[in-house]
Amino acid sequence: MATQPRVDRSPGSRSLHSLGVVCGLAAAAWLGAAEAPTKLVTLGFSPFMISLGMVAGVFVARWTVPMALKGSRYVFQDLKEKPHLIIWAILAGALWAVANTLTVFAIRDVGLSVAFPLWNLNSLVGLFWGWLLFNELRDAGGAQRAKVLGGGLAIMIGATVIGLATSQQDSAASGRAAAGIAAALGAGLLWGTMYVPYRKAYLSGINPLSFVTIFTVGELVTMGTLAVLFQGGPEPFLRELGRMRPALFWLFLGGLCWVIGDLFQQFAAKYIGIARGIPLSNMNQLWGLAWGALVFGELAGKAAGHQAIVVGGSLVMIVGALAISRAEAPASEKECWRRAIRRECDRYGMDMARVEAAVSGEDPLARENSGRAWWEFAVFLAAVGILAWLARGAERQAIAMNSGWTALLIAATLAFLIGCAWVLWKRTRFS
Amino acid sequence: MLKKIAGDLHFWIPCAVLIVGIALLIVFGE
Repeated sequence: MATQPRVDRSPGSRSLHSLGVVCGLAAAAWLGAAEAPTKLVTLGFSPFMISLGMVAGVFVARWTVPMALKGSRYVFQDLKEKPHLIIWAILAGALWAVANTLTVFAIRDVGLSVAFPLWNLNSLVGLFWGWLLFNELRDAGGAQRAKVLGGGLAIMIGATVIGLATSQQDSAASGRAAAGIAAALGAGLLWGTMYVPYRKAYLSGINPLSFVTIFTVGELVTMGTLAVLFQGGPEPFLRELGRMRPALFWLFLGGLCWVIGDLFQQFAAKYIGIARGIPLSNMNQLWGLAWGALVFGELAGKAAGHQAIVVGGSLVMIVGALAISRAEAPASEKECWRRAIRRECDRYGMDMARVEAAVSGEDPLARENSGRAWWEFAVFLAAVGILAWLARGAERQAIAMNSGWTALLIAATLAFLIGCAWVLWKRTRFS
Repeated sequence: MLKKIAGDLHFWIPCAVLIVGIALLIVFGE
């Protein structure tokens, strides 16, 4: 009988794996919740403008909660120690923005039912890069590898089944099928490759709060450029932006949820790697379904068989998540991760001991950087002020919502936020 | 620093993928 690699059962190692799994699940809840406010936006706006509105919300939200957690002095010092990651973070933001735009074209040309399964391949692309470039799943043993691969596949298949069953749109019978398929595959490739900068960053010990700061800049600049270009120039762009004013609050709110979800996703990538973390955060499809079906009644009137397919897809996703949550990296695989860390340290001249401390949940930088600058409070207040100003001008959209389910889902999502933030703080002080 | 990044093979993988994405936008995004 083949000997299975030994799983490190030390409390520290075990709690980091559990922490990463909890972060992945919290990411799914908040990325799924980000879809809810955007459903309140009246149709008729350009998809680029909707994406840009949300990305602008992400940018503004970045300067509220996350800055309150660590402060900008800490973030700037973190980036100063690893300046190469500034370029990597901008690259990741650009990849996200281009991928998001490609999905718009994919839906237009082949419909969501064809496009969704294709771009959903992103978790397998991420898994491949994790294995090839960062030694993930190497020396992990057959059982652990089967749990991660099987779990990832189950989540992808479950999400695809739900996506197909809940799609309101038939496949478009346009003459642009090849273009749509290429765009959807391109989006999957770009999103899957976006996890390369993520993992690169966390093997270098950067704090996710620092990385996301620069990531949102790359995202906003790329998305803004694409929106101006595809709207036909600055003038039509500004006209459309003015027309969107009453809907902007909902998009910003979606952006705020997205930032929280993305931060948890980054912590998951840091503590359990992209092969395990990304499929877990891709469970956001399940939360999006819960919001759509329970709050907005999107499945009302559908046949029982149809609803059974949705329930079946959800169960498959849950089984996949359970498999991954039980696939802790054994000591032999952790040694492979360590080799990847050493390679990064050698290349970019970083202190191996300091990086290893950060990777294992300690925060050496926090001991040297405490306190806040006065202007941080001003920036914080300005960001909150923008959100409040937008809320004042927001128009309540005439969409029926189930208030009981809304309250329950908000409570569940907040429970994930509070619970996960508490364990993150307790174990790592948000490192 | 830029020299170190340019010498990192990993860096060129997302760059190449981003270029493919932009090309797809230009070709099919009409």
